[in-house]
Amino acid sequence: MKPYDGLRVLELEGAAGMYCGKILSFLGAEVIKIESPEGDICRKKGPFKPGVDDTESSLYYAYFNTGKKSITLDISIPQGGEIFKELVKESHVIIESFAPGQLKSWGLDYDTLKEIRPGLIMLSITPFGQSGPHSGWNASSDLIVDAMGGPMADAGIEGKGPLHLGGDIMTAMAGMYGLFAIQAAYHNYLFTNEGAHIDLSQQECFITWKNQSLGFTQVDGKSPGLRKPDAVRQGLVRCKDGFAFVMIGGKWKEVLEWFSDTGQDISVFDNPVYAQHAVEVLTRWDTVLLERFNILGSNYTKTEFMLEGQRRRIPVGVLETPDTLLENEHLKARGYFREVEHPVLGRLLYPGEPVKMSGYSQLTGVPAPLLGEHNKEVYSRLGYSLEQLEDFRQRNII
Amino acid sequence: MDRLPLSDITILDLTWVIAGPLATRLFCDLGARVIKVESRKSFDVLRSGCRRKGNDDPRKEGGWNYNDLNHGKMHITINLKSEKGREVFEELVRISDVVVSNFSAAAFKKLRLTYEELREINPGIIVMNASGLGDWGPFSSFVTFAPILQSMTGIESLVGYEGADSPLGSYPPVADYMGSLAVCNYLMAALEFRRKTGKGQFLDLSQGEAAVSYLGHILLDWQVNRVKKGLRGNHHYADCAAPHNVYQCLGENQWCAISVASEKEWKAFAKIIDPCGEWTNSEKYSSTEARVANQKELDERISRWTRQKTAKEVGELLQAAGVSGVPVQNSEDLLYKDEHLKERKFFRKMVFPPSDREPDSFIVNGLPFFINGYRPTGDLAPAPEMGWDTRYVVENILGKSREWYDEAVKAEAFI
Repeated sequence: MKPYDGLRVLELEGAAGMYCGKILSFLGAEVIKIESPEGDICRKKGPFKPGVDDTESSLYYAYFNTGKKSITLDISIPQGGEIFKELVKESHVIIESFAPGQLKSWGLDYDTLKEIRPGLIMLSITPFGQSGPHSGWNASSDLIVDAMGGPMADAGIEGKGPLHLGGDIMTAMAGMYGLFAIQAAYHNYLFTNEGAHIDLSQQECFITWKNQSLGFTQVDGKSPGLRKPDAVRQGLVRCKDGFAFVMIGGKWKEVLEWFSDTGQDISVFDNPVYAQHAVEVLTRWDTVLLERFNILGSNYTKTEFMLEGQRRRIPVGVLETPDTLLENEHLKARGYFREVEHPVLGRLLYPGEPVKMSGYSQLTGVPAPLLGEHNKEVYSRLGYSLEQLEDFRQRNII
Repeated sequence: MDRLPLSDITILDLTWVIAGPLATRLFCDLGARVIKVESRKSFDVLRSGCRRKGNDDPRKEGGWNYNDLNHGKMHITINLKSEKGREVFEELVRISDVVVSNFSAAAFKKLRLTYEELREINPGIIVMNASGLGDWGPFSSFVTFAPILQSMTGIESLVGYEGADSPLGSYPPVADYMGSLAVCNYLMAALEFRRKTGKGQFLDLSQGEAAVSYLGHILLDWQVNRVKKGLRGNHHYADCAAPHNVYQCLGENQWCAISVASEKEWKAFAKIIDPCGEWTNSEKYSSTEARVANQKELDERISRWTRQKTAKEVGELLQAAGVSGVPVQNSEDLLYKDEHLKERKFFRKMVFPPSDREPDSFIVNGLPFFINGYRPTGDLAPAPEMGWDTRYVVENILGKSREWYDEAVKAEAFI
């Protein structure tokens, strides 16, 4: 028995809801992507595998759509809309990220669809929400939403400017607020038979991730601002072969022990300014402390430094690039990566489930679908014959 | 809404700092009953920071950050190491759906919070421990915080200026937020699993693994293309859009962000920045690929244009033309100036009881979505003093007598 056994989800085009749908498929839901006949726009988003069929070359699409089914359908034309409604009648959840008003212009808004399918849950994800003066604003990248409300304004060096965390990571994160909303709405539906329209604003999601800044702004009377160019670099310690990141995290005694065990004179730290490191979790390093850490670090490779620090119960981690994760001994021991075979992209390692459930083995080995791979399966369930499907194809409905 | 969606759920919350508490507060926002457990000897470290002027006692009143993540929860203190305290705790397990904590793997076992132990008390209990690196494995004993996890998972390496010798470092703690989202999603999944099967289970949440699951496509890229990508500043990580950057505007520390991801968007942008078509028509900018290849020059030209305008002007001009351009908004902009957020009533006001501490109210985050037009809005009270609800919970939820409570106090169950 799977957590979302029997749950039918229709995922419309676009990036914003993909990770949400992916986790639902891990948890046993049937997630059907409804792609335009040319394919979801995300099939054109990199990174890519070169030298293979264009439509199936996107590694971005391949990762975020594992376990889902794909059908083609042009919901923007009346005939396509009618077929879509038939699918809706059989489904529980719709995930969509069209601009506000777009579905309505096609006669496929929530109010219309809920008449066809009482208890329907629709998650609408947009950069700024369904209402408000900016709801019509364009955001062709999550760079834009980050600028308008995310951590960007606090990340960077004065003069050089704010920095964005790319990789479409923030988009995927906002999608998980959407998943929580779907899960809550579905939970409620089981009590009341009442469906829900969920209006999720990516901007508002991103704002919830700049907690500290919002708080300090109110306490200090102004925004924290970017880092000063001559500010002491916090936490990054140079080791023999790269960097490690250290937080004192209240373990000041342990840090001083480490310094002196490796031959450093720690009398300079008798100065009362350093006492804060013993009591506060977030503390600021001065030049002296950074220098001493760099001297310490020069004795070790970054991995040795991490292991020794952790042995002393000091929070330390190596500063790595993502590619090294595939060799990470801890992740390997935990069986975190799964081999997934994709008909065009071949066999590759994918991150498995983000959380391990003892009671259920998540479906992490199914690849992303080829375009329209499940047309026959899904449409014949609706009662369409192959001849009818061929006719639809001719008329560009599917 | 006739009922709050999660009003049937009781969560026994032993989590601290950011990831766990934000998740359980989201459950609270949607109606769940959340009982937060601290002890006088070790309380949530987040209480200490960001305190109001005149607030000397974090146990009585936590800082802004603490209040934002913990309002709405019942607050009790239990000494888990005392016999009576353990007895109270087990009674609470009996009436709860979920027990969630974020101890290290070792502490989790030492405090006897494992699923094997707790299911003896409540057969249907769902137990989750959200640790940095998981319940088991070579690094499971590590002491971690979000920046450490972000370093180890490579997230930090994705943020930095092109040509710099190292990433920016100390990026805001997104790993914590990845963790809290995973707590929410998987507790809900386990609740649904139990509804179908009657069975609880153990959820082993490694914040690091939750974080790495956002990087799958980057890992596929590495396996297929074997190219180590250096720091990219604000350029698109997969070259799907150009221009794609943050540009300086008129005034001090004024910036705007511009993204052009299609030919349609490029044409509209070109009309604004180069109305006479003097340079935008060039082959160098005739496709995304070409624009990416000539990004440096493109950025310089755009910069010359943006420097003459305020960030607000850039946003208005570009949005009116259907182009993704916006000012970079800082916290003051968000809290006090953004009209869109005001109309959507996103922020809420936390009002403190009268005292000599300052300020007497704080603006806090609301819920970032509406369900059927509903989300909690308006003023709200701060999180209560540590242990405020202990007696209430023991007498009214566990149904114990006043005498029983007093005995338990004597037996040091609530310190």
